[in-house]
Amino acid sequence: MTEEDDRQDEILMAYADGELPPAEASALEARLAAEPDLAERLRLFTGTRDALSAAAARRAEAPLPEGMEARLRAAMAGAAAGRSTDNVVPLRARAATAPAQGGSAWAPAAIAASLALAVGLAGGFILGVGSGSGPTPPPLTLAALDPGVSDALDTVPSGEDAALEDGRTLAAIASFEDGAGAFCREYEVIAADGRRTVSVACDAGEGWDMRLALDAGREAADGSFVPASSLEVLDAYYATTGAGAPLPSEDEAARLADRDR
Amino acid sequence: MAQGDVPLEDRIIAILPNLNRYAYSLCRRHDVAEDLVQLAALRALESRASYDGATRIEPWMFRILRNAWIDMTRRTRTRGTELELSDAPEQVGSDGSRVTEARLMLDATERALATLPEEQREVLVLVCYEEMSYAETAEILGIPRGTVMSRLSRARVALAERLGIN
Repeated sequence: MTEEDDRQDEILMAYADGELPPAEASALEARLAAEPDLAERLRLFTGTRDALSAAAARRAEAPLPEGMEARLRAAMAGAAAGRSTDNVVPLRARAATAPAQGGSAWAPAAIAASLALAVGLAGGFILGVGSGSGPTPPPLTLAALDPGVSDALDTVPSGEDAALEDGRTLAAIASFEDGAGAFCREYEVIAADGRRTVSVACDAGEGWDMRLALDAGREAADGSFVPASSLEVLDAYYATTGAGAPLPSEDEAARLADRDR
Repeated sequence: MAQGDVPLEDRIIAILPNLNRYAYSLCRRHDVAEDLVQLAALRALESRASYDGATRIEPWMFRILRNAWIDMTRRTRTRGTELELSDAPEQVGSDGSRVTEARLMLDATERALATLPEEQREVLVLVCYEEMSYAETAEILGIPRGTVMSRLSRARVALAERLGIN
């Protein structure tokens, strides 16, 4: 396929989709009448369009889950009225067989409520998200990351853990670009006693700027991880800072290598 | 009543079937789709100032919904809790959605769609299922219109091959 073929495909497709400006469409119609090969190629695009429209129509027949509209109305009304941190929205009753991973542990109303907290973070902040029991967490230094964490952020790929010298473990979660294009990393630091902190730090040239740190409580005995309540703030942070999708591992490796120079 | 007078909440409810269908395209699970729609709706209310009431609401809502999905999946992707959605049989209630899903999987077009790379599938879904224009699709995905066209054209060629069109 040459670039010219690609370009021609795009014109034929735009014509099939009704996206070609009238002048270009008439010019193309004249060619189609004269060139059978071109007309045949056009059928590829009209044919796929028809097949997809038919499939979309079959999908559209599927009814909405019962009560979905009422639940959404209640959620929106609750968000407008309350904006309290209590989960005032009657969340839909879940199937008794919810995934063991807790795959749907999102609480939209509470996220909305915590948006206000996350807006306008200039430097860094820490929020203790009521983990209930346990001693008061040791204070965390936000302005400067300690060298162990900073070094680990320079090298550890997302999805991997690194043991820090003082007995803590750093788990790199994901890398992404924030709304301003800065290279950022989300990671967890797990203390020897199991207390965990979820943080986001962004590239600051020489080192890393911590943008967010959340006390995520202790790891539960069953090994399950972050309670949803602390992740709401994280989600809100992402939503308000325009964070992009996680970078693929090769992109992350390239960004880390760049920093090394 | 002019469109601008309709409360945003009602305009969101009015396109609920579209939102649910698009959410399902992204996550392939009915329970997650509902959470996603709810999350997107609440974010939309929070950022209502960014909506130009003179334009169609679908592209704006779809963009919010897709970003909410990216945020939802950011962690799970690297934390090992990602569900292999196609492998996880869904537990559904008595609303018949399991039947619906089974029917979808029997659909040759749906099956072919599922084999395409995510990048191609998402433009196909927006343009051909959700009937967004190329320009609206570009806005939703945050990519140039030319990129929408090149991905869409490659996706159509691949789909035609799988479906034996031409």
